[in-house]
Amino acid sequence: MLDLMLNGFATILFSPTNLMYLFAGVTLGILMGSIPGLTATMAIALIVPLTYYMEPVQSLIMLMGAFNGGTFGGSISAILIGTPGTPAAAATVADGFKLGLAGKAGKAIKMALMASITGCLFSCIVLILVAEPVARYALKFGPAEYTVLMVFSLTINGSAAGKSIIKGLIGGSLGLLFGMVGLDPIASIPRFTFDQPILSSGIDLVVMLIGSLAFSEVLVQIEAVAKGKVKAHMPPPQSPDDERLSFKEYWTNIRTIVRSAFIGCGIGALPGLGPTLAAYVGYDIAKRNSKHPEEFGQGSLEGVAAAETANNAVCGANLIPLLALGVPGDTVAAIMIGAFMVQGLTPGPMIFREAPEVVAGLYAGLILSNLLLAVLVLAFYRVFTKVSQLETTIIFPAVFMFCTIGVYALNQNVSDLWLMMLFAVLGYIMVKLDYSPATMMIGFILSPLFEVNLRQALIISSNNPSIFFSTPITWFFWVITIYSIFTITRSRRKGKLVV
Amino acid sequence: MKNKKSWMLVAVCLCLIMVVSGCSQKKAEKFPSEPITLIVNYGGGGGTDITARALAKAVEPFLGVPVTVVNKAGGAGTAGIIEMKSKKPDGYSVGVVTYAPLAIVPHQMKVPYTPEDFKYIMGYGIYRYGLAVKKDSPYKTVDDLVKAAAAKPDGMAFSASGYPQPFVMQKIGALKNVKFNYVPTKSGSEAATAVLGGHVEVTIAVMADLMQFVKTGELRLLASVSSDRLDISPNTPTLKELGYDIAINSYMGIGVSKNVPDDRLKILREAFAKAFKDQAFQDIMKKTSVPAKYIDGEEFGKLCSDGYKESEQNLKAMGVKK
Amino acid sequence: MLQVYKSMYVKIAHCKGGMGMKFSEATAEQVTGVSLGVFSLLLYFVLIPWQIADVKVAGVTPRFLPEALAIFMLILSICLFVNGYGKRTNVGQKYYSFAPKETALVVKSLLILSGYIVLLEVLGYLLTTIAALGLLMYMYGQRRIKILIPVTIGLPVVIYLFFTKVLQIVLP
Repeated sequence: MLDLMLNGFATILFSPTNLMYLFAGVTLGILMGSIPGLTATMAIALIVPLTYYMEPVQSLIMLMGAFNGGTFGGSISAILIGTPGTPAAAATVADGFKLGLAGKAGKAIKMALMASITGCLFSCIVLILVAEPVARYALKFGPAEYTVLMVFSLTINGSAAGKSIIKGLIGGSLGLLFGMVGLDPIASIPRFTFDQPILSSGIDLVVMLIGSLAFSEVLVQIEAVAKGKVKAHMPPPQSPDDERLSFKEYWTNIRTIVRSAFIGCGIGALPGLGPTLAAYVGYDIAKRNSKHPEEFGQGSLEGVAAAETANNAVCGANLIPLLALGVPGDTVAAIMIGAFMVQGLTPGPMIFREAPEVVAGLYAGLILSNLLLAVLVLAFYRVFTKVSQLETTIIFPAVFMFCTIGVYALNQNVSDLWLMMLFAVLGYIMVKLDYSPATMMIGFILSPLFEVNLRQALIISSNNPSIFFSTPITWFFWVITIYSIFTITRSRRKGKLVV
Repeated sequence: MKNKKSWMLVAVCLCLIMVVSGCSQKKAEKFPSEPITLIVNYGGGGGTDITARALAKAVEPFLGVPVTVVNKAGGAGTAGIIEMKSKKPDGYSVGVVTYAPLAIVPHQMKVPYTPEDFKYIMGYGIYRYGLAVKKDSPYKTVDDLVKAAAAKPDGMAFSASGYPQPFVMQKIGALKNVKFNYVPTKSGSEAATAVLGGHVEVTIAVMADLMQFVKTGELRLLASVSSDRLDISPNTPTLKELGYDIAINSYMGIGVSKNVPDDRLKILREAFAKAFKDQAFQDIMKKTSVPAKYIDGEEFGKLCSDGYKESEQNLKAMGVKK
Repeated sequence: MLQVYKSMYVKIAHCKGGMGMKFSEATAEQVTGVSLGVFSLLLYFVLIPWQIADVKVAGVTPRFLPEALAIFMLILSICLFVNGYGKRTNVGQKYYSFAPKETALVVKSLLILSGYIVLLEVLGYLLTTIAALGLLMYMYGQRRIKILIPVTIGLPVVIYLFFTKVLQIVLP
């Protein structure tokens, strides 16, 4: 094992070409992740056709580099512009942008970077040491277990809801409803598609994200422009300390970071969930356990750390079901399967026997991608912060253009753009009336997961609901669901965890 | 105001000039004289996309023009086909047409086409399906399975990742008067892991998704659900051999709008037939575990039309279509 | 009920420019409560029967969860309305405002972007993007030619080249 890993590192470090591919992957990932509208998923989908003529290790490390870079990159625009660059960064916006507005963009980016790296490295270790047993355990999650897990996840709406729990539930319900558009997951008949082919595959997560969280946010922000201020978008740092992240600041949040790393790993190892949900759950649980829950949403470094650790922990962890079982954990992993196949490799239990050196190279590449990520971000984050200090008259139109082109590039279809506009208007109205579009986003992500698992479970049990209480895993999630609802109501009664 | 109008005029003129010049050029020259677009009906990086891109590369030298690949995913594979149909029928827009969105999905949702709206260049791949249970399952044969299902009044659950797979269990059920309940999953590998995790007892999936676990011994293959035995597991009998007259097949092919002139269709058919033999393309097919099989255009069309009629009855029998 | 709408109408009418409105939290909650209630009824009685075929499958039907959601939303809308009604006499409650100038800018931006989407496939990416970008920047108050020209032309060209050359995505 150790031999193999050392070999893996050697194949990358001593080969300039391999290093170059890794570098290219990470760079493209950061770039595309940081531009609203372009996502890590898209970066990877675009790299796959280029990998036909590469060596297996080269192509896989380039892809993993892009995934890791892209997942982090989303936080850059979340912090600097207030619009998440990728869905996975949606939970970072609340605190990251507030920090940016306070002149602490440099600090926030560095916190996001350190958190991302910690999360990714942690999941790499889990992946390397215990992928097989973790994947075997994940097999125990059947439809019933997933259903109860989703019930628990719905309670994270509680902390995203803002002041009014009713408004939070309304936002969540709207999200659930939008998540039902498309082909019915069980009977494969259309629902709410109005005979539009574009709707039959459902509303794309990126369209929903860009419309309701990015586009609408810019609409809210341009109101300031109407007041006649052509000012810089983001203030420069007030003091040199605003640019720095001290070790102490990192260390005081270590509990949160480790907790989020575990959450991200767990969610990544369970097929079907993905980094966006991981970030929201990590953020929510950090807020409940924090000593300063009132700071969350007001520019809390801890909040940034919680969300960013969790989403990058998915990078390594979603290779667990992919490599050990051949099951893609999320859209990115599904595309990765294609990349493996081009190389004549089938991800799954056989790969450890058939191509151990490729697996070792992949592990080593993923670990090294963190190093490159750190080097690149520390070298160039000033460029990003400089861009964000441009005048609003340049930033906002540019963001609009990036959003539209990114959404168009998804399916090369104009209908997606109209859908995006619709969500932008809806998101704008929601923000104006004190609803949180994030609750809609959470509902939207959970909707298909909840429904498909609930209905699968009921088919298996022939409509007998006792299946949802049939295993220790389901009991565990019921207990934490009840605990979660309890803490929400208690803290609201105390008026402490408002906001 | 006047300024605006004159601008509009200029713009309109420019557009007209472009359109007119574009048309006149095309008519004068031989086919193909400009790049051909291959519309893939699934997203980038998937199995269909990978093989289609290899095919596009392979066909270029025989057509003498570049072939650009455009992905048009969505609508369960129908969006790409609709897109291809909406293009001018001049032979420059060619589409990947897969079996399910052609023959099955039109019965489940409204699409502006039937298999009769296209002419087919060729079929180039065929999916094979297998029926599998977990290694420690008490069921050693399909008959064991049927007996066990008969003992369950509510039926036995099976996993599969979409049509046409469930037709098999439905037909076995109808034949033996037992009930099987279809648990749909998002992908074939998820269907397989549902069995591995013990959540359902049996699955029907594409062999590519089952093979890994059959090799490690975690899944036991009970039957081939295709019309022949499987190359990868020649000892497994087909359902037909076991006395159930049921087989499902699913194909990948290339098609164009039915209004494409016959001479152009002929050129395309010849070029793609040659491309099929290309070694690099064959390698990619092998790597993605899709058995390559050349089916000529006319025959492929017939397979799709027959499948279209058959699926309608099957779906009605399953109660998911009125 | 009628009074709520009437008071809102009066408030809208009072604003100059037509676009602006200002209303209290209580009014907002009552109005959205009623609209959401109407929507959930519409969902239950019109949209679901119209848009989801009534098929029989094992487990629960495709209509089951949407219907459950519609009922849940109806309950939420009633809660919201009652909540808002209870607040109507509160002094010092929050006011939501859609100020005329600000809202006008948002609406204008949306109109320009809608026009952009309409023209995108007609005129091609470069031309429309340059026009839309220029218009938006000008509207937000950018007047310096030295900035307007390079940005409106440079950015679309860079994006265009990046997508078509590096990412191999075909743009109109």
